[in-house]
Amino acid sequence: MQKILDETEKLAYTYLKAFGFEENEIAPVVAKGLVDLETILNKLKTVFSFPHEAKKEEVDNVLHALKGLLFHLGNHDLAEKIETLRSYDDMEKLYEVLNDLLF
Amino acid sequence: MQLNTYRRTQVRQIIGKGFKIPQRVFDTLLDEFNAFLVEDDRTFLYNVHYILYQKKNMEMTRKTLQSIVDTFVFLYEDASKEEERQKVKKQFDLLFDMLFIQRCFYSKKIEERAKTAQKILLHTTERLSETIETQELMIANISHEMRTSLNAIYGYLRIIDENNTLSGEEHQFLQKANSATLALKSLVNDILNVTKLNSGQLEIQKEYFWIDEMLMQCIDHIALEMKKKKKITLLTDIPFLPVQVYGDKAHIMEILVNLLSNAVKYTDEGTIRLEVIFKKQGKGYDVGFSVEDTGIGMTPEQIKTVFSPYSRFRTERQGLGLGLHIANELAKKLAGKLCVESTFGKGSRFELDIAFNEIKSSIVQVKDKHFCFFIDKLIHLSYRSRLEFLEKNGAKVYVFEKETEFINFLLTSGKTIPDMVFVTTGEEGYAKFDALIYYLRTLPIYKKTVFIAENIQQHLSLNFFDEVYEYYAPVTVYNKLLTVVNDENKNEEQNISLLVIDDTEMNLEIFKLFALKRFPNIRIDLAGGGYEGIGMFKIKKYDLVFLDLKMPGLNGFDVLMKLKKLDDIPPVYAFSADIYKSNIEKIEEYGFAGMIEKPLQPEKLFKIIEEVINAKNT
Amino acid sequence: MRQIIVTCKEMTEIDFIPTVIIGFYQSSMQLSFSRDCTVLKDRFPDVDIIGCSSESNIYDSIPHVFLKDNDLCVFVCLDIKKESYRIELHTPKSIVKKRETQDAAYSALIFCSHYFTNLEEVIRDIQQEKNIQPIFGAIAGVTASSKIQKGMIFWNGKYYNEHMLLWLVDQKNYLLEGKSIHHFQPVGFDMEVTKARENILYEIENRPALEIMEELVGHITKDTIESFEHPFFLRENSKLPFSDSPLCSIRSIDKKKGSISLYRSVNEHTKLKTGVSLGREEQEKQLQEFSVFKNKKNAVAFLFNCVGIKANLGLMEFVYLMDLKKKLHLPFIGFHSFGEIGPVNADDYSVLHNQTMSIAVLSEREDKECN
Repeated sequence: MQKILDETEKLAYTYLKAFGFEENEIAPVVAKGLVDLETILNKLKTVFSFPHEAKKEEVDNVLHALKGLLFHLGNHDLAEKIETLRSYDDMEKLYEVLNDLLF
Repeated sequence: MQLNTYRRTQVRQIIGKGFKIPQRVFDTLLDEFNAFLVEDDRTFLYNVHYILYQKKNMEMTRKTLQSIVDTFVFLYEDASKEEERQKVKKQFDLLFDMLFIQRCFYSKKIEERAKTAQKILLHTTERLSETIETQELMIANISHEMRTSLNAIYGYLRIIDENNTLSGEEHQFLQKANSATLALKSLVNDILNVTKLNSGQLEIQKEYFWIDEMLMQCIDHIALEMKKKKKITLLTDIPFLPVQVYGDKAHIMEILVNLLSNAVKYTDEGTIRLEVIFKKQGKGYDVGFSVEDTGIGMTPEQIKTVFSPYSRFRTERQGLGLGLHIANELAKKLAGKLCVESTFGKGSRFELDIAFNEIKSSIVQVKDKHFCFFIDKLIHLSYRSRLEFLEKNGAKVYVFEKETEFINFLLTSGKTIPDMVFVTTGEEGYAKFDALIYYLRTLPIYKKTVFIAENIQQHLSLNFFDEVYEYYAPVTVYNKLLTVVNDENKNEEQNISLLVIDDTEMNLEIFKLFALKRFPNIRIDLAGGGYEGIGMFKIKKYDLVFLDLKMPGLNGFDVLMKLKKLDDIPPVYAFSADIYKSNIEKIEEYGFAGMIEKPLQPEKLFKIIEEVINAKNT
Repeated sequence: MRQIIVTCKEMTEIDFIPTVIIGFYQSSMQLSFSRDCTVLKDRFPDVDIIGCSSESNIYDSIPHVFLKDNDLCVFVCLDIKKESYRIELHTPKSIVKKRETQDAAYSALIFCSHYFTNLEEVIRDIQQEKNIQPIFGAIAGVTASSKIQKGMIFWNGKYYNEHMLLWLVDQKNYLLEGKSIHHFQPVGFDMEVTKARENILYEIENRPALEIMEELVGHITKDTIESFEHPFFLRENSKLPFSDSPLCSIRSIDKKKGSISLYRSVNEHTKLKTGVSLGREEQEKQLQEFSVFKNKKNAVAFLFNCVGIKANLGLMEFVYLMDLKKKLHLPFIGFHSFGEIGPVNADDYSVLHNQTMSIAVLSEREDKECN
């Protein structure tokens, strides 16, 4: 998970600077964003506590929020991958893929 | 049973009641009938059956049945032997069976076929609905995914460009990558537009807008392409229409940009002329836009297929060939008309006619204002009409064609300091005037003057002009700029209150970051959920609300319903990643003022806020 | 070319010496047919007699269609130059071997005793490789009540039940033209055959074929099958629209396996659509197309109607035949078959299909070469 947080932090700064924001403007926003990101990733872990019992709607809601957050933080690659994974019906398989990708 | 003379006469009389048959035909008929009765020859049966079927006449069929029944009743009663009666009965059964019973069976079959056809139709309709739904989803997803990816690619290329880390050949490669990305974005948009058009997904979004401003934006779109074709001159003749028209500005622009792009694409040297004609029609205006070029033109065969999809002439020219097809379909959807005239080798002329039935009068505040123009080339028609408009509306207009006179006027103007100064000149001239304006700005008397460079068409950095236009500034801009410059309470204009409701804190922070960057004086309150947002709304008065649709507990639709029960709610915009038509329809149905897509599009956000600010200040 | 059409009761009306006699007989009347052929052969020793069994015969006088078991055998007698035609008899295996290349161009009438698995291929090959065009024909019929199970081909005294007979007529002197029409139009979405073997359709769109069809048209019963209400359009050539693709009838169903057997073979990945009947007006319009043959001189028409048409139309079939007679204005003879051979469009290759009315008009060319 830390790898994703670090990678996203770097991307967030680059992305927001491109809009003309100064570093001191970006820093608090990115910090909050990373806190949110960590929360969502933990929530994802919780939802997948028992992968075979995970409910698609619940998982989808979390992935939807994760995708939106990643986009705003400039990590578009990962956001797109998350979006693709939303179409999975097999929860156990989805869990394996997410595990490899995020944790 | 034989048809003797007596019986023939009687039968003739019976049949004669219902039908008028020539004697000769009657005789043949009776002979056949006799053969049927006596020899069981069915020629009679088949002939009558055939005639009834061919005539398709209910009345005739009824009369025939009547005649048959009457004839057989007569023959039965007239029969002298039981054997004869049985024969008559048997032949009657046969006739009745063939003419009517069999036809009833056949009708039943047809009824069953109709039921089956209906069943198949229902099944097909259901599948079609499913397919359209899937297609809707697909359009939404592809649109989102492709555009996101392309935007990301384009964004990162721009970052690399702005970092200035590449030079020489590598920089050229970067420029080519940029162009290719833009071209791909354009292609993707074209394909998605055609898909949307074909599946009826295209939404008409009407708004009030200025025509001249729209046309300038169209010209801006092709400015880059024009620069590459140095041998082409763009001429415009756009008389100023002092009202805002109500229409789908985005799609009209799409059509015009397409026509202009094509004109540039298919013209190697000469001119491209953009003209507009207004005609008052009832309470509104009929507007005719035309784009005429001196390009390669088209043959009559090419003209026939010019609006068909994938028709493209000279394959070395870029593009899929969907542009004019989309333009034509859009024009139809906008209840307009797109026509073309062309001569091969000489050029083409495209005309778009649209009726605007609703207009809004707006006042362009130029009375007693001073406008100073420097134009070192011939005045084009469009310039003349704008000068006439300004003077007609009470402005004082000064026009100079000589540099020295212009500079002299500016330096010695005294009491008549111009409110706006426009410069239209050659490349070297701008640099010179830029330096002049730098000096003038140091003078307190020019503190409130706006300096505009027009018709620039060169890639220059002009540091001291306030606004730089690739072509001519739209007249409507005069109003806006003057209002901005002259209003002493500039800060108060931006003093509006925003409420943003989203369950994701990051979304709220991003919103605030961008909004305050552009509008530092607006007040923004952030609510982390539906109930919190409603609570805030009850305490404070807001000018604008942005509302996330997908939230736990109360979703955006629920929140809006609750807000509506309170008094006097401001415009509420939905904030959503879901751009399906069904969602957009639901948003409209619930009464949202509009929608802003996720991830946040800063320009759209700025536009909405600006509109609210302008509305509040007028 | 002199010609006359007679029933077995009218044979004395033949007033010239024919060179070819083509006869059709209801399959249960083989004995009568044999007797009639013997009489004809005795009378005309040099004549070639070819024949084909049918489900029932078609004749150009009222009632046009014989419905009872005591159907009459029908014959067309033609006076065609001996050197202008050839008769060939093949088995399904022997027909695939290279035939001798002929130096003349021929058209053909083809009669098959029964359907065999590579018949469609054979029909195509004959036209492409053997350069015999156009071709028309039919698969012999059998009545339901007949003790004889297979259709039969007859040639000069012998019966054949595993064969295909080609009557080749040279194009220099004679013209064979016509087309196949049907009264259906394709409806609904394209579907793909995902599992099939020979003439059995196992799966459509990866689901049991019977299930898909019943979803579409409702419960398929014995009556539905026997009334030939739901043929399929089979499109193997994606360039052809469905309406020009061959029709195919359901022969039987297997509820356990969920499969459907057809009257012709079907390949995997073929696209199919179900057919619904055209309205009466469209049906009448189609018959109008045959007016082009009206009053053609020295001509005779062969009519191969699918048993399905008879089942669909019932007693109404004769109305159409009466109408056809008025439009065609030619003598015609034919029978109800279990598969017809003809082109959907006049310029196309002939194919094997079901539920068509295939009409072939044979006439003598007016600009023929002189001997």
